[in-house]
Amino acid sequence: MSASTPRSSVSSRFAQFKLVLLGESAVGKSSIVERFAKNVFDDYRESTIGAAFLTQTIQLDSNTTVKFEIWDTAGQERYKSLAPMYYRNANCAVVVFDVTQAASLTRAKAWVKELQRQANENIVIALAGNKLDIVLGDESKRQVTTEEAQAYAKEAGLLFFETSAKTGQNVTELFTAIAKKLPIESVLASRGGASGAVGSNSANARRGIDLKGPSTGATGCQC
Amino acid sequence: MTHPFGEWVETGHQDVGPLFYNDGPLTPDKRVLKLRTLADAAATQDSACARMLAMSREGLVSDQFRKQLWPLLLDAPETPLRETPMADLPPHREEGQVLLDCNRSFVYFPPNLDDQSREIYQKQLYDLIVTVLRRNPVLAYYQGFHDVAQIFLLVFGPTDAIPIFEYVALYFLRDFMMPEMEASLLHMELVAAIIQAVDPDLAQIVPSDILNIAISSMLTIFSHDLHAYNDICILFDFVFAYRTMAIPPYIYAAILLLRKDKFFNSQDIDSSEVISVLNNVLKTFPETDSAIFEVTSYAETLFQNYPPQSLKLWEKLSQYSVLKTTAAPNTQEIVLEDNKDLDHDTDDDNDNGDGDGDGEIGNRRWTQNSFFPLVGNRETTSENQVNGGESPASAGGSQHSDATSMFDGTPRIPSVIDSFSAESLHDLPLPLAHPIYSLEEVEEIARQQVAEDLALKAERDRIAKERREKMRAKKSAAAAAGGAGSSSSSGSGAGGAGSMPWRKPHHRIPIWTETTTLVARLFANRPRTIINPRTVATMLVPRTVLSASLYGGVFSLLLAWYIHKHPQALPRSFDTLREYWRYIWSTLVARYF
Repeated sequence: MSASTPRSSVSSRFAQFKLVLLGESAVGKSSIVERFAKNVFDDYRESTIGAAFLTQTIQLDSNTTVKFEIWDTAGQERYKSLAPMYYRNANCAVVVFDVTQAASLTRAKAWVKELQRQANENIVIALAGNKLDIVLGDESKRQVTTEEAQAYAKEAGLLFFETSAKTGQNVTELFTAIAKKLPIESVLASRGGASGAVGSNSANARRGIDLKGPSTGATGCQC
Repeated sequence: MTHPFGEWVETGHQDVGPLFYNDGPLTPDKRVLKLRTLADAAATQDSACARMLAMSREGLVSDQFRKQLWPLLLDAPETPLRETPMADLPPHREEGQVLLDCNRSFVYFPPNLDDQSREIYQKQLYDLIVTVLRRNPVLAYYQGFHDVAQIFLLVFGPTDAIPIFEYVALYFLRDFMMPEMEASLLHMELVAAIIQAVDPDLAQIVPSDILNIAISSMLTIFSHDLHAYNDICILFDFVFAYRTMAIPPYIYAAILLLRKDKFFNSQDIDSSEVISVLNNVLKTFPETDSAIFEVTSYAETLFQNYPPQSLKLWEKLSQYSVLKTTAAPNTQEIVLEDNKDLDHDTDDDNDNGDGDGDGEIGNRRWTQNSFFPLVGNRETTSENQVNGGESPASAGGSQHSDATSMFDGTPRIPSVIDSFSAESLHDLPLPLAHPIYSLEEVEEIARQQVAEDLALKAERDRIAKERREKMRAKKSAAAAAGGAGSSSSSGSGAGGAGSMPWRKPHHRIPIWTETTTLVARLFANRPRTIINPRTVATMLVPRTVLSASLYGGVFSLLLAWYIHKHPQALPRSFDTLREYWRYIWSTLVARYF
């Protein structure tokens, strides 16, 4: 992993961001994460309960590494009240809907609204229309047109991708686009060095742990 | 009837029982013996014996015994709570979600499932869940309910699972089936409280908000996070033997505490790392074959040494929570009553079917059914167990000494357990009595709990909203105060914080008390022009230390000047002092100003 990246070296840059996945139940949030983190797809995937956590690192360019701490949340409405816990301090969010379910876009819009109202001001939000493979096979199953979602994303200022966790289409692109939009420069600048991490976690603040230390990157992916 | 192990009992092996089944891995011959004992317990409906076996290594071993003994352990009523078929009832509001989850069930077990059988199982699961929900419209469905349902379906089969699972839902999983999450969150709080009580150092590293990750384990009694069917069943055996929903948090705490070195490995661990470690600990659990037993016996130790009633949190818990309704609110009191009752039963040798002393306390019936056999192997689990484990045993033991008949008065097949139950009663820790609620009572509790849950949620939302508004007001005030003011969080920084708006300033203002910082701020950070004398004054005057030294300094200067001008003002005896003041005046003030 990039964990061993020498932190003092000017040529390598490392930044860590918290990402949260939101969206209606069974739209494929966990599958997208699974595809992104492990490049696999399970036909049988259990429901997520509460939230699942995993990390994945991507190489943005030859000297920039971005590590995502991903919170994959449960879709059922009742878990909504836990969501602030996960999007609090998140730097980016992926709001997922199912292109074969019109209702799921409505739900996605509600999530975007909530994020824009209650999450960090500068949060980068991406809208992902998942299950693209189904409509590519049979266009009649599509309930949300690309244009409609695209128009909404533009209006709300979101990144937009139609993805397929099953085939892997656009999944990496989605996360790369997010990484590119994240304020890596200012994160690094504020750390006063070539590398840094964003982690304005209240838990850290409370425990008084200094995030500037090299610990943040040195851990690597434990998942 | 002859018993193949009858002779063995006669040899006077007194201390078989938990120790026997816990010592080391279950060898084939021990397993055979355990299966025999299980068969006896099932045939005689011996709940004490069943409890002991359920808590010993490998639990109830097979589904055959689980099917017979879980209802006994859980004190399930013999007749189903309700019998209305699903089709005769109006649909439940969350059947759509149930379908979504059922379609994604049976992922890890049963092994080698083909698509066709999986579909059959999924259909059965859907029917089971929907039947329970339709019969109990007061309950809401939660993702995770289907994980527990899967286990009951596999153990009991599609028809027999319905009554027992309905009972479990209403009496044990009720907290999770409220419209909001308030009652569920208590279970994670309990985990945090246990860790805080047992190991404050670990609690520092794993604070309560991070422990919310335990939610999937709590809501599903670990059936979501463990992927081996048998492991889940063994944990269910243990939980049902304790017959209280307060025990799963102890199991979770035990898992973390037994692997706490993983959290202390790194010197400066950050929160995402803690979450990763936490995640990993559970993902890799059980690491070995005996890990489950290690954890359950440690959970038992924790439960006895730090019973839920001893935790500060307990008082705060809702009286409707299953944490309380599946256990006595106050063990001590109830146990005393029950002991009396028990003695009475013993004297009369007048046992009812279950052989338990059902007593009357206030308007509530309590059962003597659930007491906890001491699981052996204690010395291997923890050193402080000796202290904690003994006191309740000695308290209860003396009264139980000749209470042989409390198990069962009816004649039955002799078993090795007889010798255990008669002799090791001395070792039994305090029974944890629990109330037995009727269906009507539980429904009433559920209704009250729903109202409470909604009220708590509304209160939480209100607080959150208030906080947001306060933050917003503060932010706009800061914006109005001008850009220069916002650099307060940067201290010595090069203005980096300004470019990271999501990073909240962690420390603000208290540094003012430091004179050097104050001066540095006044003269270095701020341009001279904006120093308002009045601001400086308001900052300085209230600071007692600062003002004292300031006034002191001014006063000394005045005094020095006065003495310099009027050398005769002080009497002779103040010569030294006078010299001192004159010196101050002539060297410091006169020379430099």
